[in-house]
Amino acid sequence: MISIRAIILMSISTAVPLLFASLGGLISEKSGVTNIGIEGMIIFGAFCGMVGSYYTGSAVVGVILAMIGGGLLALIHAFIAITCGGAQAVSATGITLFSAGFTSYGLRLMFDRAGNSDTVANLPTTEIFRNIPVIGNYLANYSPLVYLSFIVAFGVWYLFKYTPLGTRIHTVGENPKVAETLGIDVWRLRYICVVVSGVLAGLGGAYLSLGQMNLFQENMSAGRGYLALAAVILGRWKPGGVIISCFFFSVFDALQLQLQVVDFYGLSPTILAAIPYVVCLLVLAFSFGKSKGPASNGKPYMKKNN
Amino acid sequence: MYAIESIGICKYFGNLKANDDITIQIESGTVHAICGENGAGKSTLMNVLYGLYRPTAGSVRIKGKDVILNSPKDAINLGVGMVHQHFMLINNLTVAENIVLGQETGTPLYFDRKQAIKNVEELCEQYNLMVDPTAKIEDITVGMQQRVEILKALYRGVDILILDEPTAVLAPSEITELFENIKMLVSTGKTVIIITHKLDEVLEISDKISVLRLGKLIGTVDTKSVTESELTKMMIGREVLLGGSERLDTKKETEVFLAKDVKLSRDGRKLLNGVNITVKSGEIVGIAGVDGNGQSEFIEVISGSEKKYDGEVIINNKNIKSMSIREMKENSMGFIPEDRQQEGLVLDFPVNYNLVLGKHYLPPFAKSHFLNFEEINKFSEKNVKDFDIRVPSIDAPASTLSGGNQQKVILARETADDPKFVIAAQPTRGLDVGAIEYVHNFLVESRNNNQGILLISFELDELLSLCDRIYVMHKGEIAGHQNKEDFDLDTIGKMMLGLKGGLDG
Repeated sequence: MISIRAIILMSISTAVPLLFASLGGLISEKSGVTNIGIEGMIIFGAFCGMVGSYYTGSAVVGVILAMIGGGLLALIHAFIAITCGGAQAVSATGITLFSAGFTSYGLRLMFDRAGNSDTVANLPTTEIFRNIPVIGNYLANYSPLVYLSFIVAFGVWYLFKYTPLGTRIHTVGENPKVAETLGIDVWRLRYICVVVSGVLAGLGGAYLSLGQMNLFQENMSAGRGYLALAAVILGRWKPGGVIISCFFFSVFDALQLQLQVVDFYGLSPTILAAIPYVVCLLVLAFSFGKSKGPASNGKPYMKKNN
Repeated sequence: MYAIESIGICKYFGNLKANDDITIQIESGTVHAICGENGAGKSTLMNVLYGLYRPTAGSVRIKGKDVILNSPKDAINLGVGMVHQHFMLINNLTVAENIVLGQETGTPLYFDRKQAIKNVEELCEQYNLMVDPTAKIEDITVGMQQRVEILKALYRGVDILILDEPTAVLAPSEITELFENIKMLVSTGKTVIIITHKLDEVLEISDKISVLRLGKLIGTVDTKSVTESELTKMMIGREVLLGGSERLDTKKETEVFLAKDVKLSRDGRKLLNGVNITVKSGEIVGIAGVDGNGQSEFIEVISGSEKKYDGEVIINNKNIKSMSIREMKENSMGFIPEDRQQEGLVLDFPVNYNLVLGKHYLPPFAKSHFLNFEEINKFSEKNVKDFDIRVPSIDAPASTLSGGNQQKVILARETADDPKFVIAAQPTRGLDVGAIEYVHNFLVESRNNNQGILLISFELDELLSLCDRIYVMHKGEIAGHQNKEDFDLDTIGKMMLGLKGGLDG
C-alpha cells in the first residue's frame, strides 16, 4: 500500500537539497550569471561535509566545510564568467566534471575503495520541536537543515520583494549598463551572488551526506542540481514560484521512493528513480515559451576599457 | 558663468580621432545644441562629459572647476545627468523604482516603495512633468519613458542635463511636448545640452549651437544669427543639394519589372488588392503612400520572401513565383531592404563579409567551396574607397558603423554587378542629410546608367525629386499614377488619403 502520509513527510525532506540549490541558482541567474555548475557544487559540498565530519567528528564542522567548498567552486566560476567574460556553460560544465572526478578520487584516497565512505557523525534531529503537541514528533524528526532551508527560502523571497539589494540584483541581471550608470558595482554584485549560490548548493550537498544520510556516496547528487535549475525556470525566476516548483518535483521524488518501498509492479528502482526527471522534462516541454528570464542572463558584462 | 566646459578634449580610438581638440563652453541656464552628422563625434564628446569615456587629452570643467570624471557616478555627483538615446530603464520595474534605483528610499533591509512613489510624485509636481509612478516601464509610451529618464536625472539633483538625440524616437506631438519641457527646465535655471542632427529642431529650441564635423569643432554660433542652410554648410562642409545629380536622357525601352494584378491576404485580411506596376530600364519609379497601406507586403512579395500571392511578378522577363531568392539575385536584381539592420546586414559580421554576402558562394569570392579572402578583401577595399564608407577597418563589425555607412555597405553590395533592376525600400530612412544626398545621387546615377529602380518611400519630397513616375498606394491598391511632367503635390496627397483625385494624370 502506498502511504500518502509517508509521501508528504518524505517530500519535505526531498525538497531540501532542491530548495538550497534552486534558490542559489535563482540568485545567480537573477544577477545575470547562469550557473549550471550547481550540480557539481552539490556533490562537492556533500563530499566536503563528509570530510569535515570524518576528521573532526562534528557534523557542524562538516556543514561549514561544505559551504566553504561550494563557495570556492563558485568563486572559480565567478572569476571565469565575470572577470574573464568566459563561456559560462563551459566553465560550469568543467566545474561539474571536476567535482564528480575529484570526489570519486578523494573517496578512494581516504577509504581505499569506491562506492561510499565510512559512516560519519551526522546532524542530529531537531529536538526542540519534540514537545509541540500532535505534530511535534514529525517536526523533530527532521534535520535542522530542513528548517534552515525554509529560512533561506523566506530570506530569498524577502530579499527580492522588499530590499533595495534585491532590486539592484534584478537590475544587474536585466541591464548591467543601467546599473553601472547608477553607481551600482556590477561585478561585485555578481561575484557575491555567484558565491552565495555556491554556498547554498554546498548546503544542499551537506544535507545529502550529513542530513539524510551519514556517509558520502559517489554521484549522490544524482542530477538534483539540474532539477533545481529546472525549478528556477518553471518558477519563472520568481522566488515564490521557484519554491513551489521545488516542492512539485520533491513530491514526485517522494512518490518514486515510496514506489520503491512497495515494490511497484516489480519495476526496477532505477526506472522508478527516473520519475521526477521525466516529469521535469514533460513540464518544461509544456510550459516552454512562456518563461522569460533576466534579460542579461548569461551575458558577460565587460567594463569599458577607457 | 559657464555650467560645463570642454577644454581641448581629444578622444582617440586606435587611429580614429573621434574628438580632436574640442573646446566648447556652455553657459548655464541655456539650451546648447551640439550638431553634426552621424559619426561627427557628438556622442563621444557627451560620453566624455558624462564620465563614460576618459579623454585622451584635454579636460572637463564643471562650474568653473577642473574635474576628473572616472564614472557616470562622478558626473552625477557634480550635477551632470544624461538621457541616452537608448533609454537606461529596467522594463519590468515601475517608474518610481527606476527613478530611485541606486538611491533607494527606506533602509537597506526595507525598500520603502511608498516613499519612493511619494518622492516621485513630488518631483513631478515640482517640474510639472507628469508620470504615473506605479506604472511599469514596459506599459508606458516612449515619450513617457523619456520623461522618466529626465526625472531620474532631476531626482539626483542634476542641473546640467545632456539629451542624446532625444527626438529620434518621438512622434511629432511628443516632440512639441519635450521642447516645452526643455524650456520649462531652463526657466528654472537648469542647463540643457541637446545632441541632434535635425536642424529645424535645433533652430527651434536652442540658444547656441556648436557644430562638429569629423571629430573637429567647426564653430559655435548664436542660434538667432544663423540660418538652416548656413548650418548645413557647417555640418557637411559644403552646400547640400538633395534630389540627385543631373538627370540624363535614358532610353526607357526594356521592361525590367512587371507586377500584374498582385493580391495578398493574410488571416482573411486583404493586404494587396490587385497591384499593377511596371518599371522600365533607365527610370526611377516611386511608390508613394502613407505607411501601412500595403507597401511592406508588396516589398515582401517582389523581393521573394512572400510566395503566397496571386497574380504575376515578372522581373527581367522571368516569373519569380517559383524562384528562390538566390535565383532572383542571379537574375540581375538588387534589393535594398527597409530595415537595414535586420534584413540588410549581419551586424556581427565584419564589413568585408557583409559586402560579399549573397555572392560569397560565387567566384571570385569562393574557390572550390572555400572563401577566397584575398579576393574578398580586394573587393572590400575597393568598395570602401569607391563608396567612401567610413570604417576603422574592413574587419570591423558592421554594427560599429553609423547608419549612413551601413546603408552604403548595402548599396555597394546590392549594385556591385550593375543589376538591371533594383528595389530600394526607404533607402534614406534615419540617415543624416549628407548620407541622404549620397543615396539620392547614387540612385539617379544608377538610373542614368540605364538601370530600372523601384523606390518605395514615405517621404513625398524625395519621391517628387527623384522619380520619373509615381504610383500611389492606398489600402493595398494603386490609387493613382503620375508622370514627372505632371507631378502635383496636391493631387498625390489626395490620392494617398484615398480621395478620388483624377487617376492616371
